[in-house]
Amino acid sequence: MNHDTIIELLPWYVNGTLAPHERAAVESELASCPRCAAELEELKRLHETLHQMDADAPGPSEMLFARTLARIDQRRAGQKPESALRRWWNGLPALGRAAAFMPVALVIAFILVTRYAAHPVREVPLKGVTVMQTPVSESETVAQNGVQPAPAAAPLAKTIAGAPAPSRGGEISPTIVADRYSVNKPVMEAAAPPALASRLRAERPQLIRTGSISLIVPDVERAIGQLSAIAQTQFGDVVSLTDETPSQPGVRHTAGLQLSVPADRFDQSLSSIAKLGAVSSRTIGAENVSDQIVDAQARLRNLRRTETDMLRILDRAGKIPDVLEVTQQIASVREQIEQLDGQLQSLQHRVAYSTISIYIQDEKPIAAVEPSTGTQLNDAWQAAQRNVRAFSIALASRVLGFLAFAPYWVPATLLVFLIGYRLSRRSS
Amino acid sequence: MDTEADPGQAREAQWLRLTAGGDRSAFEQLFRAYEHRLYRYVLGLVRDPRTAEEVTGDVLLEVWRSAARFRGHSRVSTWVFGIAHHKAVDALRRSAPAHVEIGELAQRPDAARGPEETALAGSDRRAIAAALDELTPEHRAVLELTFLNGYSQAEIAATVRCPINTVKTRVFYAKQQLRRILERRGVRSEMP
Repeated sequence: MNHDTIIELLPWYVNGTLAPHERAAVESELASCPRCAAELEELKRLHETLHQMDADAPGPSEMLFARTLARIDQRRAGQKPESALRRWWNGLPALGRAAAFMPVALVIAFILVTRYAAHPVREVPLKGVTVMQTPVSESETVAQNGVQPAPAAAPLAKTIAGAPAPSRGGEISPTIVADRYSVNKPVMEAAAPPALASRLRAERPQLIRTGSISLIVPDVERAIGQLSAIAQTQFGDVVSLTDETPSQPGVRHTAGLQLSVPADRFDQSLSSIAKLGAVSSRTIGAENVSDQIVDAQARLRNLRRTETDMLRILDRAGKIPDVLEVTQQIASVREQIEQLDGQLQSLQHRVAYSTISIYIQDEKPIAAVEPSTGTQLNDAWQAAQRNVRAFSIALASRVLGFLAFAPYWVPATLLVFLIGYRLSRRSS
Repeated sequence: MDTEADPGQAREAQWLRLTAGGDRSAFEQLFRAYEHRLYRYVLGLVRDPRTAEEVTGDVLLEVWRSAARFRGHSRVSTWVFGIAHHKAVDALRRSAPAHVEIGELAQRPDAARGPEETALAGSDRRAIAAALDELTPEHRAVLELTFLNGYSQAEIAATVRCPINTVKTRVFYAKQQLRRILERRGVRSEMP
């Protein structure tokens, strides 16, 4: 590879996506060519600058997601919805579509074969536990609640599986029950020892819960007032509000709000918000930050201990350089403590207060205001006057134009008259 | 490229699969993962925050609608940024119909270094950032895809839909253009 080819490869050497042989070629050129090395430095600087710019750049509006959901819903309402099956079908390659008929054939064959082989057993009795008939998969739970299954469910299932629970003659072991079937909750809590229940409460995951909801309301102005009232009654706040009142008729009045409410009032707030209008979409999400909080707390404890130790050393230090060094170290530890403390408090605040984004739109587009009969008559009279004036001006301008051309048409008319007159005299 | 090598990529592919099935919470995850990156990329091209936000919304709506068409031959990110690039270029065309595309120059410029060749290394970040804003959208796009998104030549070619050689020349010219802008502004060693 020559020098020019290498120069061209350098940007991808910086981002680390070159093939091994290209990378080797670049490295050997870099070792011998100072121009390539200088070029590399420049590219690294550019790389760094772009990353810095990216970190400093602002993001899109908080309401973008809610607005996009509303657009999805509008599209759905406006056109025939494309079913999941159809989408799946469209996404298949030609061979896949042909292959898709295979399971259909298999299912038909299966139905035919099993039609006469009845399954008499519908319920499996198990000591102390009622087994529901319908298996509930994880994805179904998500779809029903819109929330990711709380991680607390996993340790619970494990504990039950590990607990000595003889399945005396039962065909299904408790492990399978806990994994595959939804179990009546009160029975389960009764089966769990009291210590376990309290431990589970203590280990409840620290979740940052967020929700977004799109509503179609009869009156946006009133809904905004009601939402502020809900925020107040739930001890929360309206964090942001964008109200877009359209200027021309035919466009809907929309508004976006963000509420911050105490986490334990999240569900309550969401259900009172949903009552304000027709819900067109709703999403609830949760981010588990238990690990981050525990980690931050542990680091904070360690740093505080280090600080105490250093203060003790400072007491014993005699020489000035030693004192200065220890003081510097303490300052650095203090800074870390404050930073970490800030992070921890911010996390705890986000766990304690949930954010709800609400996007509301009017059910009807803004209508043109219907004027009164008097106004209409007045308008008609004024329009007529305007028309008469315009007509008169147009007429007058044409007449004037005609007059202006008199030097042409007056002699021509006279000539015609003269010829006519002569002809009539000659014939008489 | 092995699409499942990185757990992050596998997770994004999973979100996209769920989105194709109409799962809104998976769509939200995907949305949150991309909205900022997309917005900044589009903003770099269209330069107007309002248009950038509109285009970002359009892109993510398109992701929702076409999720089932993602075949997994590329990274989710390349696919999403391909849509974004296309939509941003469309928006640019709509806003300025007379916009003249910077064609690739016919021949390679002389590889000899002029006096401006040192401008990039000696300029401070703010000056480089301002000069980046003066680049044409085509040039800015390839620089961002290379240095911010960390894309390979083939991935950039797929995103901006042009041959790999064009990608190489575009990056080359983009750098040269950047140096010229810095030189014109008389920016010299202002390193902090």
